[in-house]
Amino acid sequence: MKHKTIQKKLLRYLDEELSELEKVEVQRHLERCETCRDALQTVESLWIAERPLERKTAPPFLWTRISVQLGAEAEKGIFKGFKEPVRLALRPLVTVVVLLFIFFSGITLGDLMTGSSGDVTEISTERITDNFGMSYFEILPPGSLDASSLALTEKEVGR
Amino acid sequence: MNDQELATKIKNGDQNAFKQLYQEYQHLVYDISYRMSGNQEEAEDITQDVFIKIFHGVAKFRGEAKLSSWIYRIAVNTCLKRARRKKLESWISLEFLFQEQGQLEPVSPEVSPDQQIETAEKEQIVQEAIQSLPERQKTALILHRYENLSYEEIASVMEISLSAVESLLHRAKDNLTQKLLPMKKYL
Repeated sequence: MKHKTIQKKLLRYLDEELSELEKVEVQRHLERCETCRDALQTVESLWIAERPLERKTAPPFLWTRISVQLGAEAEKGIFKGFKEPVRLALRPLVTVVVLLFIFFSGITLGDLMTGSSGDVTEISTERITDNFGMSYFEILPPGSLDASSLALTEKEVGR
Repeated sequence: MNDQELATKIKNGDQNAFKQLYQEYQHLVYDISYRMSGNQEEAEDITQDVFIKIFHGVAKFRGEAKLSSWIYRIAVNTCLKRARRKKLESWISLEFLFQEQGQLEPVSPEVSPDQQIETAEKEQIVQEAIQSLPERQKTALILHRYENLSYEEIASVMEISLSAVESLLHRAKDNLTQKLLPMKKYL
């Protein structure tokens, strides 16, 4: 068997994970090959020295980080029951609904304040005439300079 | 309190039960995260992610497997997902051009006369060799060697067959041997 094939199996040989046949082959090769015995020594010194005895420990502040994140998630209000993508899609939708509500509420409120839901132009004309005593919607409104001139002209012609 | 009771209490929003679960399994999650990422800060982020996932996903735990296996599965999947994302990010940012993958730092015996330092250096050599293994081989090896999981437990955590676990460990150790052999000159 080639050196490379034997050396490849050295870790499994050390961990006793080779089949009985493979184990015998490796042992026989090692007995007569110094290069592979050296290789075994190298792998063994690294693999055995490295074996860990205790677990790595999490830093003490990690629980605080986790509980803060959970707290922040709990404060997401009406969206908390939804998954992140749904939550992201819902936000603009809710914003649009709220804006539409404000817009239509404004229109309804405006109608209520004018006191009638009739023709807007008609109401405006009446109100303006009432407030200023003249109609701005006639060609020559009464009280305007042109109307006064016309009346004077008619009087002079009559005389 | 057994696993199922603990899970049920967390499902019902019991914060103390979740804290108890954290205290019981934080070492397990942090240890596997650290060994999979090879980086302390990354391990802390992964541990945080894993416990948030546990909190939100505890309703899915039905007690068919051990709670520890379920937690291992979440931890391993989170590690693999982050590793894939990191790899993608390094490709996008072209960082891989400047990374020396699989190149272990030479260890000089002159600067480490002390036995403890020598052991630490050997540990570093093995750890770096393990980090350079393909992800699935690395996962199987870490679960077996450092977490002392049986083949059956590894199969359950990685959601693969027993023969696949054997094959992964077999290839992991053969690859590792080939990575360790050139390190002889640094010993």
